[in-house]
Amino acid sequence: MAEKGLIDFFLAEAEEHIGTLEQGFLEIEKRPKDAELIQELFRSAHTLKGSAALVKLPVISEIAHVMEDYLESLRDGKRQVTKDGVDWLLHSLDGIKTLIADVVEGRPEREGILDDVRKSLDVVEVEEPLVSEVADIPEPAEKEDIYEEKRDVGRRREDLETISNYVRVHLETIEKMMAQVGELTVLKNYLVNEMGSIYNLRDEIDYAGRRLLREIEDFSNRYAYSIPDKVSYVDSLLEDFRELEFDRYDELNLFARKLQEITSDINEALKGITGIFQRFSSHVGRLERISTDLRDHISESRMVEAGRLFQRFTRIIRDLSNRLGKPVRFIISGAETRIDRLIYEGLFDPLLHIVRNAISHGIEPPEERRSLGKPGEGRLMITVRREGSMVVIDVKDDGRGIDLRKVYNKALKMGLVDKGEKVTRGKLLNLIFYPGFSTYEGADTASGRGVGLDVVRQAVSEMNGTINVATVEGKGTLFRIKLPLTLIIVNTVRFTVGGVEFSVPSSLVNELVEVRPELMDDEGRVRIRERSYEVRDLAEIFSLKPIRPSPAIPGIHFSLLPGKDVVLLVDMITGQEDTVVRPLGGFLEGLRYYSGVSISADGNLTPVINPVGLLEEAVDFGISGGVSVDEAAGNRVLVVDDSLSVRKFISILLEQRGYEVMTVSNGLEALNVLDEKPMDMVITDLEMPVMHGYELMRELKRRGLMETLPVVVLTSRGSEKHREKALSLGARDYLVKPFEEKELLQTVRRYIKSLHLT
Amino acid sequence: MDIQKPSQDEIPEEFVSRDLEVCIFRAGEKVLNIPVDNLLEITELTEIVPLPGAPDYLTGIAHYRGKVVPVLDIGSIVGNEKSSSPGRWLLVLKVGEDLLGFSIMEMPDLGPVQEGDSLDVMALFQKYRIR
Repeated sequence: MAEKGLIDFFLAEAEEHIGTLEQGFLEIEKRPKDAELIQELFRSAHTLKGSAALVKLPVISEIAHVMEDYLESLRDGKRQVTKDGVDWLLHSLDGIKTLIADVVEGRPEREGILDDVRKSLDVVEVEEPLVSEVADIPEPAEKEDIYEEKRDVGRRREDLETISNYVRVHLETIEKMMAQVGELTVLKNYLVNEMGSIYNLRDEIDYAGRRLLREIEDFSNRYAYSIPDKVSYVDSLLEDFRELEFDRYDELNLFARKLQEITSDINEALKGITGIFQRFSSHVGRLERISTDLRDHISESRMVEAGRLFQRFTRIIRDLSNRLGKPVRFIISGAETRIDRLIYEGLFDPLLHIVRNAISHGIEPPEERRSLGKPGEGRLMITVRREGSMVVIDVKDDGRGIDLRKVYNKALKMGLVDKGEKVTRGKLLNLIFYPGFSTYEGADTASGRGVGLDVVRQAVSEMNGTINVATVEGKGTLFRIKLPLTLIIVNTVRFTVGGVEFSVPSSLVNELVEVRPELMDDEGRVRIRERSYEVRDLAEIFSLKPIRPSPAIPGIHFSLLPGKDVVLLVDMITGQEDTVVRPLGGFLEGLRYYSGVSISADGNLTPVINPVGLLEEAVDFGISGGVSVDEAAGNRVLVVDDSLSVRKFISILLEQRGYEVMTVSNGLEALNVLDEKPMDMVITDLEMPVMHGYELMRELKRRGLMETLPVVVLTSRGSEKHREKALSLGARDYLVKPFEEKELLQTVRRYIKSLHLT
Repeated sequence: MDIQKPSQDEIPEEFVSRDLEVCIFRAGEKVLNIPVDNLLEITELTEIVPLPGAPDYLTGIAHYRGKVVPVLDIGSIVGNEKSSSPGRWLLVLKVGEDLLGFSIMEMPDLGPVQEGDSLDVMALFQKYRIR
């Protein structure tokens, strides 16, 4: 018997063939003339024979062989389909099932079963002479006798699927499950986000409840002091007055007590709610873990061993090495590493290209190798390994390496570098990935013409991967491809530019940095930790109006190619999330700056940029989508108020009219928000805990923001003194609560003019 | 049981028998129609996400039942008129295996083939497709 892994594959395969055969045997009784069906059964028996022999199960193989012969004679018309014949076929199949059951349980094959199958065939053949001998098939006389002995051979194993631990599942089913897991993940993210809002809400209710309690307490304390219990009245008239006072006192006291009771009820309810929130939160946490596990398991089920992919190269390499007269030893390492099926399929062409290049251009002819002191036989090694959530594939040869002088000359010819220009090794190597770049002159049937490494790079980038190359002259070349393990659920970094939200697969991101424009050199490069990087501004590339209040601009550092490190400037990094990326579809396919669109649980779309496509051809695209972009840039209102109802009311009022509203409950929080997110207007209360409105305005003034950022005061303090103070600090307007909807809207419109909202 | 007389609310017969072969809509100055077979849905255009870097005639992308629909400013394509706002209605069309959306200002209607000029959606798709 062969090793366990192979046997498992055989069992899965055998199960399918047995199914086909069993069903087919029952069918041919009904359709004895169906040549196609018989052919199919023949093929199935044939394959089963071969596979069984391969895993060293000779008895199963031999039974399949006998069946194959029988089916062949049916196919060729040498025999006709008879009931006895079909019975025999089914009987033999039962024999195979029994044997397989033995294999599963680790027992050796029983030879006796083969003998039995052969013997019972002899009986059938006596009863059923070949067509050439007799035209009419006589009814077999004593059917019962023939099959007496078979009972001890094959218990019918109708429940075959329980025998092997494998079920074959159509890839499409797994894809569907994966897509659903993707949606589940997005929904889960949504819930996790909502948890944050729920907690905030709970805190606010809690805070309001405590405030209410405190107020009541203060109130009753004050009242208790104002009516001291032990006052002696001399005058009887005053005595009456006292009675009157006491009546009022009782009433108020009662009222206060009632309020206290209600508040403590609310408090109790709040505790209950807190408990519910906590349980809810732990359930969401569990959901998160389950969906992650589910995703991993389903991803795992789509995984294929990388070795199977490399096996496909063995033959190609052998042919190529023979044709070119360059003996090559092909070494595979990490063949058992499992990779996503989509990646498996997508990798074949890029790898093939690299492998062909290595043999035709990299590895030298044997005599040349020997003269260099290398072994005559070239070495080509493919290794695969997992690194976290990435899979890394190295293709390494010990050939002559990439001749950088040739690359330089070619680049000069193509106008990619200027004469006399100093070019780094990295940049030169990078050039080999340019469209139409090949240092190899002349036709070449082996690696093909017209298809360059740019196609390889493109294919890799479509799978959210990167490719790198290292070379040492005379020693060899190494291509390294890094890909995410799975393609369906992608972890992305989200960011905004000009009010538009984008994301990029985190597998492509090297690191997040901050760039100070004043530190950029004349060529627009910036130094980070002793290395110089090219800087590109996404706002410029897309002609968007950047919103950058802070002098340090967030940047995303991509290492796309050797020597091609680019820092892409954005407005704000908003977070990271697992998301499902959908393709752009046929109409937008050609848009190379994007690799897809992510759809969140609430239906929001976020374009996913493809840095390779984007940074390779940064040309002026002209202004597009301008209308919406401008709108997004001028409609953000920050509401600062310690009252939840005021915050809610203003949010609803403004959001209905298309404004983007953020709310905070005191001045300090407002400053924190303004540090991180640019706003177009602030509406603030005056009296607030932690930092009040005056302090907020003073701080904004100190930061020089009062000129550019309109601040409007909304307060219950109606006196002229407060108004004057607020206006002197730079407030643009002063509204007094309770306010009119219309009045507030007019004020907001006055200060956010850039907006065209209906 | 008495059979009730037809009430005034009843829909006139000629209205029911009217052929609803095409979807008629206004694009800029033009009135156009497309076969209802191409039409998946007429929906209010709620949110459209711009795709910076795409040609001007592409208003953006919209979400339609888990899929991404590229939305064209059809007024600027056939009506020679760049709309100042993204439009209020979204026509979701099926073109072969792909989806395509038109953003339009006025609510479209269904009617007989005589109304408006016929628009060859496939030809439009091929012509404006980003390659």
